[in-house]
Amino acid sequence: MKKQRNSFLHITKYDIIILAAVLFISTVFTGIRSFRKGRLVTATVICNGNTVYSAVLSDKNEETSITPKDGVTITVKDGRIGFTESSCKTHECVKCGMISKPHETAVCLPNKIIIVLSAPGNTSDGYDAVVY
Amino acid sequence: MKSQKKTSPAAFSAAVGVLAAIMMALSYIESTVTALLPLPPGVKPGLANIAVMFACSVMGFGTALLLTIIKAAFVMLISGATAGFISLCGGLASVLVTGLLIKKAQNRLSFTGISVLGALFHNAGQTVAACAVIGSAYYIAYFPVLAVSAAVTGAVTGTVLNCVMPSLIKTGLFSGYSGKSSSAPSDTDGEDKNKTENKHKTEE
Repeated sequence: MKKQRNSFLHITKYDIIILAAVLFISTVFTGIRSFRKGRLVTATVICNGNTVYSAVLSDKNEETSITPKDGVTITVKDGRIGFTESSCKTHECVKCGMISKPHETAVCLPNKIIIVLSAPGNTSDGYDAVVY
Repeated sequence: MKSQKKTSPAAFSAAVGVLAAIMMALSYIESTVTALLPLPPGVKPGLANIAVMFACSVMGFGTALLLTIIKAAFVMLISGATAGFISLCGGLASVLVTGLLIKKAQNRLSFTGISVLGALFHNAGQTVAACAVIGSAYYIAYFPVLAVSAAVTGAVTGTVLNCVMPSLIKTGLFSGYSGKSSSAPSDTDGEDKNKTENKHKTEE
């Protein structure tokens, strides 16, 4: 009669393989995302699917505030951008903090606003700032 | 040999009610814990999924689907329609994968592995829903962070269920349901079936 397998906390080798594979792949992509650097990082603010603001962050040393929607304030300062005020309940967007690296994002889902930082060379319209 | 389902609608309602209450309590605890821990935005421990996984394995896919819808409705009442929609999308993706794995891979995976993959697909479903809400695919860039959290939180919740499953079965509340009642893959299921068949042949 075969005995029932007794493993530590009932974890099998296939569990460990899956956990290791998912952790490895996701950590690699997270690392690639985190260590991207660039001098010319373009910030784009998208509200309800429409681009409402786009600027090269490194050119923005003075503090600038954008209000894409009532109750929502986005601040650009010292080459960083982020939500500073929001009308949503959880304020997850404000907790994202100020972002500055390519492919970082800050999102306010209830207000349908996303801030996207793109890698150098992805936008080439030549404008310093565009407000729609 | 599978046991026959012999529960009344009242007993089924009671069991679903208990699991739904556990799920909501875990959701509340999760929201409190999330506020205290320094987690990245959008990352949650996923404690409520313990109840959904338990239901999927013991009571069946249909009950787990019902609990997922109840959870989404609860989130919608607490946090709004957008949060409810995102919770529903993530929950549906997770319960589909969990149900499939419990049906097909229960001999190889414990709840830990099933939970990791369920959490991964939960976050994938939520990412797709968030992109639909925002009207932009840029949010996918955040998925690697969510995938790391899925691996960690999924492993924790699955291991917790591994450990508490025997105690939950002992309560007797779910005794009328067939399904995966042990957390560890067992080598004895085939042996029991052979024994029953041999016994019948001997009697003949």
